Amino acid sequence: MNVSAGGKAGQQAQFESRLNEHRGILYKVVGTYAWQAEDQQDLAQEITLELWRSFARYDDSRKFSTWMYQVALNVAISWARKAKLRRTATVPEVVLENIPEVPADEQDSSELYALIDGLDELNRALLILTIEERSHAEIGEILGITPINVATKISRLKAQLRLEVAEKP
Amino acid sequence: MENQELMSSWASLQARVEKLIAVQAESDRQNKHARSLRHRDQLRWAPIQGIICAALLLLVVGNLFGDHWASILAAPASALPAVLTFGFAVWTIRSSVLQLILSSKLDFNDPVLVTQSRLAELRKRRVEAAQGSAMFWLVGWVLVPVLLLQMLAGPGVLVKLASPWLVGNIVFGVVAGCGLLWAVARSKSGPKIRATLAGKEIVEAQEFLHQIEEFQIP
Repeated sequence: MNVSAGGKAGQQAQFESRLNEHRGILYKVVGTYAWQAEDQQDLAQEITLELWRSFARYDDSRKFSTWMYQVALNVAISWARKAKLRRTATVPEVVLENIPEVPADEQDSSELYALIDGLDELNRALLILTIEERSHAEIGEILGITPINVATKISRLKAQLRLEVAEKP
Repeated sequence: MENQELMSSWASLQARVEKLIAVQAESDRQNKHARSLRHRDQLRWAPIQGIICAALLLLVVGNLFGDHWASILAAPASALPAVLTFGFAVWTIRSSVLQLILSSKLDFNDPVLVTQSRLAELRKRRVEAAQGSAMFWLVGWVLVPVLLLQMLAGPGVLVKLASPWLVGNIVFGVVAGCGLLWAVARSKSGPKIRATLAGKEIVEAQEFLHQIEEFQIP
């Protein structure tokens, strides 16, 4: 990222505009790693802060969304691992009920929560990127593994999810 | 849950999180911002503090050896507190330098597996450092004053100190340490400290490192 071109203020404006454009990534990552309302807010702030810190080292030749996933997943996984020791409840009681205007299927959401909760941190990252239909090459770049490895992991993950769904009463 | 259902649940979940964060984003922002910065600073400050403390201990040991070398050669057993303290100080410096190197390499712009393995390694080293310090200071609280006394009055002062006094103090140190742990266990951060001292965090970090290694294998 060329800071000198627009100075700090320009850089900040550029960051805010790009962040707003890709804000969905932030919500997806937060929703996958944090369950409670306060935790989600906390994690969203940590990710935003780290994105801003890392923005100076962002390489323009890369896709912004790929870079954003990379940083956000790194923060979220670290956050989730730190939270593991202090966390007691795993599957959440849905705490978002105070937001009536969002239509949601409670049944499906809690089922999805349960599925996500059964996965480790790395497979959760893989799940987000797979659901978002990112290419194997891009997923490999974000996680730091080869595209062939990504394909293998995705097929194993799908098999695992299928099995878990089938085992449910 | 079929693919289509998964996608629709995903969209619904995302919309709920989006709404929640938008509603609450402004509250308590300053406090959390400061907390996050403090946490990151700790990664560097804890090893720096370790190096400063260890350097001071080395200074004391070096001073003792420099000033009383001949007396120490005459009665090598009197150098035991200095040797133990020296070993601990060197170990602390090594561990702290490794932590600083790892934290300087930490970059969230790197691929997830690279960053996470560095973080897990760093966590492992930090916990080991905490465990080592706790173990040393159970007896160190007697060793270090003895060392200071030897520096002022010569290594022979150890012989003059009655051995029941020394043993009594060491036993007291162990008992006081256990009492402190008991008190800490009843506090809010008790489970975290207990897990740290018992090495649970090291085990978890190692497991995670193993998990990362496996994830890298197709």
